[in-house]
Amino acid sequence: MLRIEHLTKRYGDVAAVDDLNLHIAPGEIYGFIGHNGAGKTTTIKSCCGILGFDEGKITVCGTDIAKNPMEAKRKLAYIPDNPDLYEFLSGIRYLNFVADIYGVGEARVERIHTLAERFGIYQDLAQPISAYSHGMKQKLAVIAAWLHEPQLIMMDEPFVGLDPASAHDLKVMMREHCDRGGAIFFSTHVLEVAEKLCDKVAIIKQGKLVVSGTMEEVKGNASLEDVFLELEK
Amino acid sequence: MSALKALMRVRLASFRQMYLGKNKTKDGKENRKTVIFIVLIAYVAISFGFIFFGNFLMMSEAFNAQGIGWVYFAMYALIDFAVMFVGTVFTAKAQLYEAKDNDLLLSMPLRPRDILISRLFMLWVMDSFISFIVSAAAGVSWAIKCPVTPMTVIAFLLIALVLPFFAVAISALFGFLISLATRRVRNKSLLTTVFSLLFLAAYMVVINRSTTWIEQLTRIGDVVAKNLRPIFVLRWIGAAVAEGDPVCLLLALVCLLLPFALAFVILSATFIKNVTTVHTAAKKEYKEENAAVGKTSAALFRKEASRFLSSSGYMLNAGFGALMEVAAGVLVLIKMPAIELYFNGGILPARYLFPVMVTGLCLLAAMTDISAPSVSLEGKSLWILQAAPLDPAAPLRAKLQFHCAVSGAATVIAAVLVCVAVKASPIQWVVALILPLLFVVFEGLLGLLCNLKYPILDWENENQAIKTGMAVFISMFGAMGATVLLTGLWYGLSQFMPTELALGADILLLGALDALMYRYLVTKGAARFSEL
Repeated sequence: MLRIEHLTKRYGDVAAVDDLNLHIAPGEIYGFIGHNGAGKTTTIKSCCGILGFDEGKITVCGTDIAKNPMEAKRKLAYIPDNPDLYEFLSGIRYLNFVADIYGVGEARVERIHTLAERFGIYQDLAQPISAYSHGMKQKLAVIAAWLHEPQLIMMDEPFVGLDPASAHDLKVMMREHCDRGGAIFFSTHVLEVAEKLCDKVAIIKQGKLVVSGTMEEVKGNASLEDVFLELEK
Repeated sequence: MSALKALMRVRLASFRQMYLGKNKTKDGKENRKTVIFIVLIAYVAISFGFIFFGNFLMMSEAFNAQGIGWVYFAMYALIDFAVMFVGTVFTAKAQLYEAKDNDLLLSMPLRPRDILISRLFMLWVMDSFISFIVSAAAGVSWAIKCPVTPMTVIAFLLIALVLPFFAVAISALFGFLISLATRRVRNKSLLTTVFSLLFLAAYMVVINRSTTWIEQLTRIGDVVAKNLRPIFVLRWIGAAVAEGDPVCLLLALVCLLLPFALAFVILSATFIKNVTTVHTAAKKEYKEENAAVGKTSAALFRKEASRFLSSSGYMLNAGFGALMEVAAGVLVLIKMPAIELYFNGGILPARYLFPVMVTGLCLLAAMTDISAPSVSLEGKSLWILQAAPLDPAAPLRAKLQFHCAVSGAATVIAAVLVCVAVKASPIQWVVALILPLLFVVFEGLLGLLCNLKYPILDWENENQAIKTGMAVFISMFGAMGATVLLTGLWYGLSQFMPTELALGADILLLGALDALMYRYLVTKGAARFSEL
């Protein structure tokens, strides 16, 4: 579903991501862990086609993101770490905008209804986004990401700002998405969430992949927190 | 006291950031921006100073000759107050009642009174600056034509110093009333735009008519004196400065300072309640409708339209030219007989009337710069377009189309009015529509290319992107410069051919330039957009 091969991204002389290799298969929830500035966001943004990169190759569902970004982007969705949406639109107008961009037809009505009800913001859709709380914006960003039924969803710290019930709903949705054959690649600092939710996990340190594999392979009998802290030393 | 000083420094810094941007650079760009800003402010201050000086000069001579010098200073106080009030009432509303950093400041160990003082201080600084221009003009005008004594000078200086306090108090009151009127309104930006335009229209009328009105007032000085006499504070201000009456001075100072003291006490007592009460428009419940499925290009265009209509700052600063263009068209239609005088045996031959009008339309179109801040306005939400499966040129096309839709509509209306006014021939109709429309496209393209070169994406307040960006500056003045070149071209060619044909050369040149710039926009510009 997502294949990252020898990805290198430099900012000047500093390599933010250095020769990174990862493969996320259909049906997998893949957690991406690292300290602040480790290169998680740069990797995710590169995979979404937002950032260009210096070396390597990224394919989304077999499509090279660098060579055919439009086709690759149609198959994925991205949720940033901070939901900076169009504050001047109402929630529903933003969702309709996204649906138009991704070519979602009449099916959008039912999808919006279902997802907005699930996150408890259905009645707020007519409100301007500027009136939304951080959590509501995050929920709207999640709904927008799911709207075109992408195969691959990439999220940067998706649980920040969500209330416990919505965080639970999101976890359920992530699992449902993968059960339908999709894949999720997300970064998080909440190791307990990663430990319970992810099928596979990768730990990145100063742009280099330190360890990756199934949860059992990475942590063995220890906790993910212990492994992470040990690797960070 | 140190907390208050820190707050005042923050206020001054935010004021500075609003006009100069926040980026501190080591390559002298910041200094250049500061110098440009100071030069512009000085230019505006001197220009207005001369307007006021001319008007005050008329009054000082007339009222002094009639022995009612106090009326002169009463009029000065009225004018000074009116200009300060118009200049700062919206700032008072934003600073005192709708400031964004209230929660942050209230969470700190600061006295609410200090927060209030720091905000009132900024208003006082702004009012004092405005008052300085008016007072300098009034003082010099009086000193040139009328006798002065040390006492009258002291009285004038004290009154000039205290008048801004009075203006701050009244601005605070009206700021509160405007805030009260708009806080529960859903479309706040539209209402703010309407309020601002009304103020601007009133201001333009006053500036245009002031000389006539003052001439009339000087002729009926005794009537003015009779009407102003019952307003004690104006009588006291006038007598204090014109006659050096110390009792009147004391009474006037008390009257001017008392409202400020009252406003301060009331605002202090209600500050926390004012800034912590949440006022929102009535919640609009969502009612499901059938999906209005649209094309990508239409969605992007609608997004640009929503962006424009949601921001009074964007509409007023970038779209005001469109309004001016239509107004100019109407003015040309009404005033054509007077305009024709300049061309029939006047400054220029009659055959230049039409090309001057058409180039004038281009010049006015240069004032509409909707596209120039449009890339910057994507700000932190730029990721939405970058992550979407879009040709990077598509959002740029939408921005250009929206610019052309607004500016083009105004240009067509103005061109039609001009054609009717000059009784244009069929060929002139074609030229009057094509050339300004090509110029609209040129301005749109220039704005976009400049903004791609000089984007401001990390703004905290959108006005930074709208007002202070280099793109806005270059595109507006660059386009104005282009009209000079177009004028030079048609004027030069018209020595050898009919003016319509000479304007045809402008059309060819502009058309070719538009095509080249458009090509550059959708290739190199689009690549740049995806790299931002």
